[in-house]
Amino acid sequence: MKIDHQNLDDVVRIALDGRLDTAGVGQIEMPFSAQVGVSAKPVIVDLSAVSFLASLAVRMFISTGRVLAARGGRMVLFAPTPEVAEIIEVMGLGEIIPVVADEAAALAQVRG
Amino acid sequence: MVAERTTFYALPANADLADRARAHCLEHLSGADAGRRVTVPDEGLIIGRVAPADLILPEADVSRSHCRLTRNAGGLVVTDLGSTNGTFVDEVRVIGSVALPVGAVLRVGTRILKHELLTESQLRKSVEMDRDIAAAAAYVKALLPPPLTTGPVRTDWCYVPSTQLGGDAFGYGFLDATRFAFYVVDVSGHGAGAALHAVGVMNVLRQRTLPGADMADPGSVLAALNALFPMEQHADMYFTVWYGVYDLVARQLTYAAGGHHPAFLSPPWRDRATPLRAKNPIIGAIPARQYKSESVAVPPGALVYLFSDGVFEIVTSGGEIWNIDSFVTELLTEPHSISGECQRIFQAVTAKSRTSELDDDFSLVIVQLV
Repeated sequence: MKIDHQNLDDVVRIALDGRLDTAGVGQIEMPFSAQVGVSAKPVIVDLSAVSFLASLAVRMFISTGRVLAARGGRMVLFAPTPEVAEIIEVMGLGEIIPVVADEAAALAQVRG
Repeated sequence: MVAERTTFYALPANADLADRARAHCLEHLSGADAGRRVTVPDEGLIIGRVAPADLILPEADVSRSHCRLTRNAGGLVVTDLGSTNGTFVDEVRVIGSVALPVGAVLRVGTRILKHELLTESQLRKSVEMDRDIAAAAAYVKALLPPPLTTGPVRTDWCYVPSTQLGGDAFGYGFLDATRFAFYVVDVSGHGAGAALHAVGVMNVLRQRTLPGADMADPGSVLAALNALFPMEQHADMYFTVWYGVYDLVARQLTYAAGGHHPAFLSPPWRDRATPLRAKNPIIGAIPARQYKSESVAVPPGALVYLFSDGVFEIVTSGGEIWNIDSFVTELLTEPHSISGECQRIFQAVTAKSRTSELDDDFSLVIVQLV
């Protein structure tokens, strides 16, 4: 599992790469929460290289998103693969955290 | 534009490629030993109330030497040793000797044991589980209902907790003379905490003590669960659930899912499986959310398969990532009788998996609506 963090001008861009199963979440949860939860800027999360999303990963997104929201920030997920989009759809995650098709839409959402 | 950039790498854990020799086991489905497994040695064993029986069940309705299990080429054979209260295989009384197929349920007095065929590592797993995890798994198992082998609704199930123990639970029962409810719950995460949360959910469903819910209305049940179990009050754990109510008179199944993949409805000849979708979000994340139900007509003898994601979220030995469609294809192969079917599917999934132990709990319930 790989987590890539870019601090851009007005937004933090996180790219996740690999299988977000229980082991994968265990590997990145600390750096993810540390980077996202304390961010003073909105966060966009690139899911295009994530092949699988376990329930623990969904929990990580919801919990971190809540920490961020409590501080007035926001997070948008973007570019899920069809497999991950299916999991997000079944769980209704889009009702809790915005999930959009691509980076342009993610930036438009956090900037708009 | 890029001010700073950090990249973390982490390596996957080693895959378990242990050998796949299998052992015949009996798993206690009832009593204080619920969840414990006993291996049947090559020379067989005798079940009785007192020593020198090999497997001692200290119950008043078990005879001193109650029955004998022997191994043959195909599996196990059970012989009643003239017991007072009888030995039963899938609720049929044993006269003389009969085969005990894998997945069949053996009843000795009031004690219920299930025949399983397990790999060495699956067996070792129960020993390796730490005490808290084992206690939590036993707690979940003690609450699971025994299979129903007679009557207008029949059930079979397979529950194999993973080493880490997931948060799976399931249950079923009649709400009244004509309505039968059944459900599966999957709490996010692993460990004793997830399992105990699942027990909490299962208890309100079993005892029907869900404030404001009509237990015969799946949407109302899910909305009440959502109100009772907000994730911020439960260590940030949410859960998914599939809940159905079958009306025996109307032959109608009403159901709702909260973040859970569909259950599947199949005719008795099993040429197809129809997904029973009723999409609503996970339970505990969105306050005051309404949950909608769907319903479907049920043909005589139809089967409903409900399960947790642990049954299909596997990586095969060829590196292929399985999905729910792969699992449904497996469900529809080799029609068997309902008894033993859950075990067959568990063995088939385990045989396909890259690792000899599954990563998540395996929970599969088959409900036949006779």
